[in-house]
Amino acid sequence: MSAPIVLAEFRDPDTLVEAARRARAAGLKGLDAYTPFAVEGLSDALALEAPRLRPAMLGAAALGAGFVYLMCWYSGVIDYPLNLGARPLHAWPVFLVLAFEAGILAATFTGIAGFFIGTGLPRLNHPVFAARDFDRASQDRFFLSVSDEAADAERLRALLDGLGPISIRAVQP
Amino acid sequence: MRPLPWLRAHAGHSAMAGGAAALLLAVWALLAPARAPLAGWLVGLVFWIGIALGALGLLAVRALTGGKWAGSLRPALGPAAASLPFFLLACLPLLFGLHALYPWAADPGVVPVEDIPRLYLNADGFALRTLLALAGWSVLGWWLLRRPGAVAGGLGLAFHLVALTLISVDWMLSLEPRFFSTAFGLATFLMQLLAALAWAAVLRPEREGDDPGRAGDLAGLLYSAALGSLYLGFAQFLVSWYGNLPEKAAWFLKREEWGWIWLQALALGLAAALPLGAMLLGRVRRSPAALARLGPPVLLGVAAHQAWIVAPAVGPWALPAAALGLVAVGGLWVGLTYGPVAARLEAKHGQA
Repeated sequence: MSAPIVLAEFRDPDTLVEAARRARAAGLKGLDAYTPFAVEGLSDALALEAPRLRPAMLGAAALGAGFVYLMCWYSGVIDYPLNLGARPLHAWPVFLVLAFEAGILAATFTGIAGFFIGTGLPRLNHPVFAARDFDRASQDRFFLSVSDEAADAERLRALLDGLGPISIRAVQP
Repeated sequence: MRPLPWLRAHAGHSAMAGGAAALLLAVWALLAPARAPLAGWLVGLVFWIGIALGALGLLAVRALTGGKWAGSLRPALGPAAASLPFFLLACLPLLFGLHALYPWAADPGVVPVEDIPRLYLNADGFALRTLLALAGWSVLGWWLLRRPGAVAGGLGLAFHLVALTLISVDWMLSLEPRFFSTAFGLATFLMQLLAALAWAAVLRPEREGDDPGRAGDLAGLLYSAALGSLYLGFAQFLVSWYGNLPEKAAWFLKREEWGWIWLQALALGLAAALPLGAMLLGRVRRSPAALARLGPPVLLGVAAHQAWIVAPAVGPWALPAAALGLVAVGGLWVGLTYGPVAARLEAKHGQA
């Protein structure tokens, strides 16, 4: 049984960031936000964990680049050595370019796959979708969501006093 | 004290140090063969005009695209772009020393094709192109600072790329006229953007209360400029390596001999590996102080790369001369640019 979700709706990103700061200062857990675009400073205000995507992408880039470099080296030096105008078989300047491109490609694929997995994409529904007007989170509204046993709509309303949220409501999990 | 006011306060000292170094180079040129001190002056000229032209390029891009990123860099970039007329004077040693520095000026026979010295690569053509390009850049800097707009930016960039291709080949590559690389102008353009951005990072022109995202913008620009100039620099090597033509190979082989390859290794480490590695970390990208600490090694790396292009053509004595040349042109340019020019710009445009 997970905690109920309380949503607070705002008109502008700065108020949302301020609201997130207050909620965090009040010790509320399970904070998240839904916005139409990336908001500067929001992940700091929410104290979200640093995503583990970057190290994964870096690792994938190293693996992809290393693999392609080895493949070039194997085909050029061992499998099919061919003397082209006395150039060395281990033609590193050329291999480097391919390895670099392969590294970027591997990092990109890892990033896309990691993004899908990290955002839980195979999941088709989420309780917050049931909230009225929630589709405006992808247009012009900014939502703070709190999923904490200790939080209900009344407490959140008191906490956000003065920030003028458009609405505050609980969503059944 | 923040870097910009500090430079303003020490403009006189800077100019004096530059003048002293210039005097040393002049004495050297009078007492001994003038080729090494002239090459040193050339390295200084290429490095510092690189910052000014990089600033010009950034202002032109900004005039075309708009965006907040350049706004906070303006106190650093504006005076640099406005200072371009200075180089009309600073290029004079090059023009007067043409016959000592450039082998094709003394003996047109070193150029492989007979018509090239007759029609293009001769003393008059060199002087004409240099003066025209510098005059054009000076006008462009004035225009972009006074009335930035899409027309100034677009025409400016078109003129800039053509002029830079001609001038970078004239000044640097024609030291050894048998080597040619078509990407050299573009590579120089990117390296100048890198130098100007690193310079702006060092000067920390941002003000209290500036949006903290600006550091991230600067880091992104620095990253792409470093990656871009690394890419184009490497592409030139790769094309020569793969083409395997004797003249092109000879240019690179000369730059592998003795310690020259270590000079380039230093340049790669400081201007490419270090910034590209350090800026992978988010806390470096978001901190103006960390970017300011990255600036000096990047600038040193750019200077080392330019010395690596120029000095091997002349010989090992060009290296100490290059150090003197960097101080000479730099002292004079910084003193002028961040003293009177910056003060004048500020008076005209307010806190720009």
